[in-house]
Amino acid sequence: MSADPALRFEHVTIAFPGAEGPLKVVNDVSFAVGSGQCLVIVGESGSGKSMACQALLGIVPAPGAVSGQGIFWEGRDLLKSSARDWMKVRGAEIAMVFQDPAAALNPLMPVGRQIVDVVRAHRSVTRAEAERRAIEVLNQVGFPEPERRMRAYPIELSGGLRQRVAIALALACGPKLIVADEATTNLDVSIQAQIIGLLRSLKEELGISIVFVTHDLGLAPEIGDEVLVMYAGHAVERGPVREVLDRPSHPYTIGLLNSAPTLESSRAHPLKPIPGQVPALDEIGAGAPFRSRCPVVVSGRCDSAKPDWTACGGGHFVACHRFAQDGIGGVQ
Amino acid sequence: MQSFVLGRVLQAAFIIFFIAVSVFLILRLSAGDPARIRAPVFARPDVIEQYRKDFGTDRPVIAQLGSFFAGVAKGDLGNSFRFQEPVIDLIARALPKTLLLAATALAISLTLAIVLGSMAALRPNSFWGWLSSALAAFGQAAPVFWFGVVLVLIFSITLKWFPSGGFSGPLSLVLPAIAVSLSILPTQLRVLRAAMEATLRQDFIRTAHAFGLRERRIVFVYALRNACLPLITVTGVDIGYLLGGVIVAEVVFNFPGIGELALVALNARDYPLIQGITIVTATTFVLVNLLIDLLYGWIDPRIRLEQP
Ligand SMILES: Nc1ncnc2c1ncn2[C@@H]1O[C@H](COP(=O)(O)OP(=O)(O)OP(=O)(O)O)[C@@H](O)[C@H]1O
Ligand SMILES: [Mg+2]
Repeated sequence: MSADPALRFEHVTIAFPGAEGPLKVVNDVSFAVGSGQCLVIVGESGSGKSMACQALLGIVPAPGAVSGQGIFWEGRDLLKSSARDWMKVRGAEIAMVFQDPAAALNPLMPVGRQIVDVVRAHRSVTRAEAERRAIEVLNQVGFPEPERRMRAYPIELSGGLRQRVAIALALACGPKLIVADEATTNLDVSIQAQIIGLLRSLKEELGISIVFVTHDLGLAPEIGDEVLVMYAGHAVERGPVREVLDRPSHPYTIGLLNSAPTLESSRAHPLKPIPGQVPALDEIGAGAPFRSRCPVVVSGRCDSAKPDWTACGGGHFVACHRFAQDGIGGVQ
Repeated sequence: MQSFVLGRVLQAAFIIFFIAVSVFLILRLSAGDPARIRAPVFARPDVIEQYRKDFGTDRPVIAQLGSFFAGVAKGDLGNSFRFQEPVIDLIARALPKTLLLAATALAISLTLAIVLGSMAALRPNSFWGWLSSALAAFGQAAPVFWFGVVLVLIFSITLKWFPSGGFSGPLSLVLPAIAVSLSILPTQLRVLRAAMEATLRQDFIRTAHAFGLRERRIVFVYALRNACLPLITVTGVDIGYLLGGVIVAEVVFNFPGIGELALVALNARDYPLIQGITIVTATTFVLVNLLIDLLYGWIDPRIRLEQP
């Protein structure tokens, strides 16, 4: 990671009011993204990945409340900036690609006009200039025949093309960071590979930083430089992709790797799903978030205190009492 | 799309034919003899019989029906018993005024529903939310004739801002249009508000926010288009209600439109005029509904493109 990260997300907590006190859907999470780097955030459904992304853009839905040390974008704290300043950042400097492009695009507006609208929201250009820009970014994402097909409505496009439009929308104002929230989850495997290839080329050729959110730790090496593993609103492991994949140290990360289908999984090495379910957020309390499903609980520690970060070497950190005690978080 | 339109036109033609026949028969089966009403009081039976001959009501009903439809096919709706004038001419004079009144009322109600409904959806706990609930409840509770009379009392008799009746220019439209708009506003307001609330929760609205679009643009361009679909649907359903309100208002405001003409025609048992008015009103109603269906497809590409 470069010395001065473009984005620093520092000790951020996102809380929703619950019946018994606030529910922290993101609990004291920190990460950083260097310019031109890609951070992969992985975790099961409900781990707070989308909430963290939405906090980056200042669009956490009410009544959610974001607090913490700050979300520093190129040195300024977005948490402290005015609504107007934040509006200039989102869409222009930080842009988001959502999970389901069928739902994320306006169904009643031609796709080209949606791009034109975003361009004109951030730049004082004529409609014709904005249209030229739309064609340019559609070309950039490999959208065929943009001059003609930009008049198509989302329903007239395939899932892969819609996602290309969504990425073109994100590129429209020349962003420095793209947040892709499960941008490939609903796509066929081959289309998924194309979209990941596209994002990687944006990173490598245009130097755009990327936050790539996924359920699938196996995608991390395809695009990521760093990885952050989240569980029930907590960050549990982070580090360079190769380090984390080669030496997974949190029992949850190990469980994720064991349960992911790979080419080698077979009858001899059956998939091992993580037993149990993600606990309700108000059941976690003061202890380690993963303890209810953890095979290597440290009794007396895990149910009373949240684990601190322990260095595993090579910029790789894990938040696990077992690892802190034994230097190992489980068996793969 | 073409076969869709063709199907709808055939359906419309059938509906209008059915209505025309029904009205024709119902008029002749119900009480009241136009000849008796038209003839002088205490007229001798042979005078009354002469009127019947003139009107053609002495012939068998089936024969009357035949010549009526033969006339309709040639675009002739017959002569009015009461006015001794072609029905077509009477309607041609009254219909534009009625349509103008209905369109004005619809425009007022749609504008209020869209502006208030959107603001109320956006800020339910503000003054707007309160105002739109209050207007919806008031419109539901206040009948058109009562509201019309109240408007006349305040704005024409006391304040003298608008004429109290008749038709003497655009100002004559204002009070009746307001009175009528109140009758369709409650449904439109509620439907638009609910649709807007639902639309504002959708993903593409979140996308628009995430791309830094202004709230005004998001609500009144992105969300409104979607929220208008159910509004258009209820408007289609309520066109009949709107026409009913227009007729009441025409009577209250002495407004020389189709509604007032229909009242005169009914009192005189003026068969040709009643039949003509019914056919024209039904045709308008069916056409407006057809227009609304086409509008729907025009706004929503999902409907347009799914037509085989
Ligand atoms: N509007 C809301 N009000 C209250 N809680 C919410 C709201 N939206 C989401 N949550 C909760 O926040 C938590 C995190 O949700 P989030 O959408 O960030 O998960 P995720 O990691 O993105 O999951 P997925 O993989 O399913 O997208 C979940 O427990 C969810 O129930
Ligand atoms: Mg999510």
